[in-house]
Amino acid sequence: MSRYFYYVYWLSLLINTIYFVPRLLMNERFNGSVAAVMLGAVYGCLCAIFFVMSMNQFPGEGLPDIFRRFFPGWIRVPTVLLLGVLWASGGSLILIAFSMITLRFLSPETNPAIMLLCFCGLGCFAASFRPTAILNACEIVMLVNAPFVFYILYKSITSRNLDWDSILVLSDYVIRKPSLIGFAAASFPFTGYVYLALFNRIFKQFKVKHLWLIPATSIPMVIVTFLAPVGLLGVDSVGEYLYTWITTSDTLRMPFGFIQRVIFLFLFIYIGYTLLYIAICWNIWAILFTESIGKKTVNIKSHRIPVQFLGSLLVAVATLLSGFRTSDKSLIDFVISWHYFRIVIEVLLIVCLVSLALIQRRQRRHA
Amino acid sequence: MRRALIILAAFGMACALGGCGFKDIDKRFFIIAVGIDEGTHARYKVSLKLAIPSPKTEPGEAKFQVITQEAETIAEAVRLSKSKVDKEFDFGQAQMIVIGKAFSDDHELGHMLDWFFRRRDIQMISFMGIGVPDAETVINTKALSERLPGNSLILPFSEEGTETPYLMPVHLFDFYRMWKYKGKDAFLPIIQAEKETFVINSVAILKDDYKKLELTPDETLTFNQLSRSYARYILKLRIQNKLVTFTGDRMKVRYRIVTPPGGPPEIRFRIWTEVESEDSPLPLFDLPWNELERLVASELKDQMLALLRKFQRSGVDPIGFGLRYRATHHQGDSEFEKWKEMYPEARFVVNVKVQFRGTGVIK
Repeated sequence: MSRYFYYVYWLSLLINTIYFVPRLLMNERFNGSVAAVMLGAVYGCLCAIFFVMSMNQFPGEGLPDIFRRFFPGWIRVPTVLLLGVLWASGGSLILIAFSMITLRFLSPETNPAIMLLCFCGLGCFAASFRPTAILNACEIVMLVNAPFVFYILYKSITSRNLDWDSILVLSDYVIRKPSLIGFAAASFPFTGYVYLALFNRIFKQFKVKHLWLIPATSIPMVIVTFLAPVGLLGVDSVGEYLYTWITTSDTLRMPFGFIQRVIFLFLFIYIGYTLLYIAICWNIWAILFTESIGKKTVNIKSHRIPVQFLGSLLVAVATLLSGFRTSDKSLIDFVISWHYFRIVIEVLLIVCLVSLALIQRRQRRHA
Repeated sequence: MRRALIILAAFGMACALGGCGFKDIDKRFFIIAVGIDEGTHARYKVSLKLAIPSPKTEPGEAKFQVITQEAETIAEAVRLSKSKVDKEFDFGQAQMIVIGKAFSDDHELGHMLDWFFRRRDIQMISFMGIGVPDAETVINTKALSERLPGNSLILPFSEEGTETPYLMPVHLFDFYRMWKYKGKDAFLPIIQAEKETFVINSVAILKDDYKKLELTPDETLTFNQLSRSYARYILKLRIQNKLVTFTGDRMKVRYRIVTPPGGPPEIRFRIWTEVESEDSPLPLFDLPWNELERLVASELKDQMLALLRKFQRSGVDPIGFGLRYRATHHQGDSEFEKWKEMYPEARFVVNVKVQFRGTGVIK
């Protein structure tokens, strides 16, 4: 059953290409992003392992339940809401980013407002599900798309056009001080573990096992997502592309495929991943929102409306409104501030949770 | 009630989506190739090869139309061309970008082509080439055997059809990265239009955005060997005053850049190849094979050294020695400047090991 944890974890690992992680790293490729990737990988794996081990101390309990036992309400509610906002905005961000990508590469003539409305509507609908349903959907999407993902990764690293000299040029720039944003971006692919904060409730009888899978799968993946664009787009020009990995996938060719441009395969896989990721993020936000309010339903004009639905509606409307006003330029600025926000909150969360887990263990031993 | 509402909403949203931007496939023109020439009145003359879909895919039945327009920018030319046709342009299938010879002779070839790099719907994997006598003629040429419009030009480039050692395909993304690379110069294959076919057997090499050098077919072959380890080459040799032809089967080309202290840098090639004789008036079987191997090796070595020295003399570096130097030396940003000073003095050492595989089915 730990596989459900890994599906969510791998989803965040794969989605990093849409989160502009490669682009943020490419901006600083001569200025410390190699070091950032290395540090980010070590930090990310350690955080993931600590977090999972801590959550294993609380079988069947989510983060709100743990906080309820240790903190008074006036700390718990704002903290939980803050985390909810972090994850909800992560989902919104990827929704806006992907609607822009769709507009640019798949269907340039569609009205952007309708596109956003469809994505938001779908996300809002999915967010009002039960978490188990989301996890099941996650399993299906991950398994269906996995062969294509492996195919694209395989194609990119075996491509005849992959220029190893170009990758090796980066070897001169390893020992450089990484910037905080580079580090934050490089550690993003490893953050899929945080969603265990809520999904742990479903894991009542068992603990997440095979933790070695975390470094074993994510480190190669991060290396490929970082190095393949350098090799294929050229070390001196890779920084000029706005959607680094989408253009990278466009440099691959399937001569005997039904369509020869790999970019379309890539985009279709990522539609599935993006919608799933939005569903997970918004679902968690909606549940955290419901619990902070403390009521399951509210009555509006004698209709009983679930608070969870209201929560997801709230974030959907907010995304829709901000999506209308976003451009390529303001989006990347927003992504950068989101990465800063995320890394700060995450460090605090891990420190807090690890100490709570230690307290819990000591209590259990003494009891 | 709620479920019905949701279904209704989903249906409503689905109706609002109009795939293909409300334009059906039969209201679109698929552009197969784009040609760029120098205009007589304006900066550019853009030729677009439009495929005309037909139910028959028989040899020689491919139909197409070419639209030509002059304008100050490529974007403008495309917009103006749109008013000459009845259907919407679709660049999603544009697989060939041809630059006219005259245009390439005296124009800068980087920023002038920005439109192709910037447009989202131009494939990064489309092929590029220089058209002789000009791009429009190349675009207009139709091979007799063509089953799909433009296919006879695309097949050799994608190496799905014929495979020739005289052709070095260059993709759009590859051209862009070579143009931007510090330490590797871009090159483009030259496509010569004949009456009902194409001849693609040479390569033009660029230096700082401008065309600098054109290779002969034999030099192109050697360049192909050196830069891609291209194995299916051919080699003519005089043995006992008779002309013997060898074909390559497998080839491995590796090189290292050595910088001995004090002396000039050395570029050391290590080449291993397998050959077979293909055309020989002599009974080769009974000759000493290691002697044949030695002859082939020295011939290959001479060809390669001649080409490498030609590159060096012209100051071009299409194989990417500069990039390799940057990759293997660790001095940071100053490397490339250093390499630019070192390259004209670099010495080439070529070591060829040949394995003679056989004489075919007869002695």
